[in-house]
Amino acid sequence: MSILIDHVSRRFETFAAVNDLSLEVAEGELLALLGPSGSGKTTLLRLIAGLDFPDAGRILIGGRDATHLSAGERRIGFVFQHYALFRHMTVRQNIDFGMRVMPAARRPAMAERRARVERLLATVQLDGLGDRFPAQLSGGQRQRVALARALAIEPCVLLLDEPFGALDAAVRRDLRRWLRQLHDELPVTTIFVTHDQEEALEVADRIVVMNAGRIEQSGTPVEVEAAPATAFMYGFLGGASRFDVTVAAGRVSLAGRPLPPEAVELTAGVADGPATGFVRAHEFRLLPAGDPASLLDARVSHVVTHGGTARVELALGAGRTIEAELPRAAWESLALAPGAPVGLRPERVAVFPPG
Amino acid sequence: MPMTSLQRRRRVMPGFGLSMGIALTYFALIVLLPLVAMAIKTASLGWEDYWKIVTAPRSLASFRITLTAALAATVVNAVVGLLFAWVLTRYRFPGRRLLDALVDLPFALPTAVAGLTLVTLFAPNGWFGRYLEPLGIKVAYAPLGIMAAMFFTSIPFVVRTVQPVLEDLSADVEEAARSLGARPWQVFALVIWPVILPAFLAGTTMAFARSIGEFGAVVFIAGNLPMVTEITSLLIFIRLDEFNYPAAAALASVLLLVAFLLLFLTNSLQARVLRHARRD
Repeated sequence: MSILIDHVSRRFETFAAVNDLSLEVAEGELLALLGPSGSGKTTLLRLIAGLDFPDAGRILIGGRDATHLSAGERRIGFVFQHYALFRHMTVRQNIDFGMRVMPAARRPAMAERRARVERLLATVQLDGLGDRFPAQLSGGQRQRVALARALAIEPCVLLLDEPFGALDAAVRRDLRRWLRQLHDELPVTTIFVTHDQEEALEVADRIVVMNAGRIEQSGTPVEVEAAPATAFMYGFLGGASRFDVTVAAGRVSLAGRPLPPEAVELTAGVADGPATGFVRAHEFRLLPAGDPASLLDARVSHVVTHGGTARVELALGAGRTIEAELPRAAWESLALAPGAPVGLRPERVAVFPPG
Repeated sequence: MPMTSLQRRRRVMPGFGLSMGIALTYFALIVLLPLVAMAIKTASLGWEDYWKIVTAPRSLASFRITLTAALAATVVNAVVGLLFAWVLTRYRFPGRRLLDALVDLPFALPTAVAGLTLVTLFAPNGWFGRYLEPLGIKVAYAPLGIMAAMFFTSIPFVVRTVQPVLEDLSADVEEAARSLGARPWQVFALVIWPVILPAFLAGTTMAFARSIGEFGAVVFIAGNLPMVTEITSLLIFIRLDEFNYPAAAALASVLLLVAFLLLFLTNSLQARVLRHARRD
């Protein structure tokens, strides 16, 4: 079902965890809420689930006002970071729980309950483990039990709070792909919270980046990756270097040298005077030292080649280090050793108001 | 590689032999030896004499009084103790830490002091007694007084065993149950209760065992009328005073048997309840 969040705020004492936030989630969408810790993403998820209630605003689920409905009345599947399984129940009993507590009038017949549990065990690839207790399962298996348990009530919305946060890297990667596949087969509107941008980029149809209780940027993974909209986004996505630049009548200069206009992306509201420029690691061109096209002088301090790319750490002087990324072949053709001088030319500089 | 460094690598804490030795020796000296001595004393009686002592009307009356009072005190203890633990873990209110500290008072207070205090309150001219007496409720020098004393000295057991388990129960689990549609009573009955049950059983057993053996607090308020308010511990003491060791031992063996039976019962119950904690 679709979800509409309409000017919702949630304050804890004086701290606004969610601040006048509006968001629309389409039916069947797989949405990632991405943000640093403390950005309010988990609070927002809990507000949607009915585990917490907003101080202002409305939450509509499937067009129905759910703002004041309790968690149990919303038919929402919620998956917790630390699984929150019932440790005294077997896997089967855990999955069956939601059906067991239904009012007798709505509760499926015993045979249907059993069949549904078996079906879900198969869906989450845990056939044969139904009689185990949670303590006898690995972290990845536990999280799949939690997911099966949430799906057993046939929820209209599935919410996952940092679902893979407590798992190790290899298991995370597998579960990520598996979640994506599961969503393709079982198109329930799904929102998952993560602070791992790689996870969000890989799994989601759409990413909503949150910062300080508000939405910073929203879009498809490709859009968000290709065009970070704010200074915060550059900082958050990582791998970008920050420079102090000067703006004069629409011309931007870096360390006294004017930047070519085609390389500059001025955001609206940048006034003449000092400003902040961001260059992402793959948007530097490396040139032989002394090349006239070079705008910055640096020294190679460290190189990591991994697959087809080379990641180069460059010392700019005054203890400052930046990172550049280029195709391995291009790096090898430069034939530079650590310590060698090199010229740098930013091919795209995003300029924001100073601060 | 020399042997010593190999062993050192295997165990983080050294001195298994020494610490185990000390623990076992003390356990044998302080717990097992007296029990064996008592068994020998009891065995010095023939079966017939033993049976006569144990089934004497005065003995039987003391068993009945002790067990019923202990049972009643434990039932009240279980309910109130659980409630107390719940209030202490679930709510934040001014004075909570003070209340938390006060729970241990019955452990810290000499039981004789507890007994005296109860007498002061419940004697016919005491604070409570003067209002209860006209209503026909007799506490001091009556079975109800024995119960009160037992209740007072054993209340911390249930609170202190259940409290940490309740504190440990993460909010996640309850929220998960709520979001799956469970109503509050279902959350308690299906999610919280099964988790605290083993601790609750352990606390209740300890409270019951303590009540059966309670002496100091009870003798002050009980009145100690043979056949009416005389508890077994006191009868044992009286027999001992008369230098009738075998009779004292025989009576004590019955209390011991009850205690063992109880331990066995709760341990097997706990094993059943805790089967989820097994990892095989």
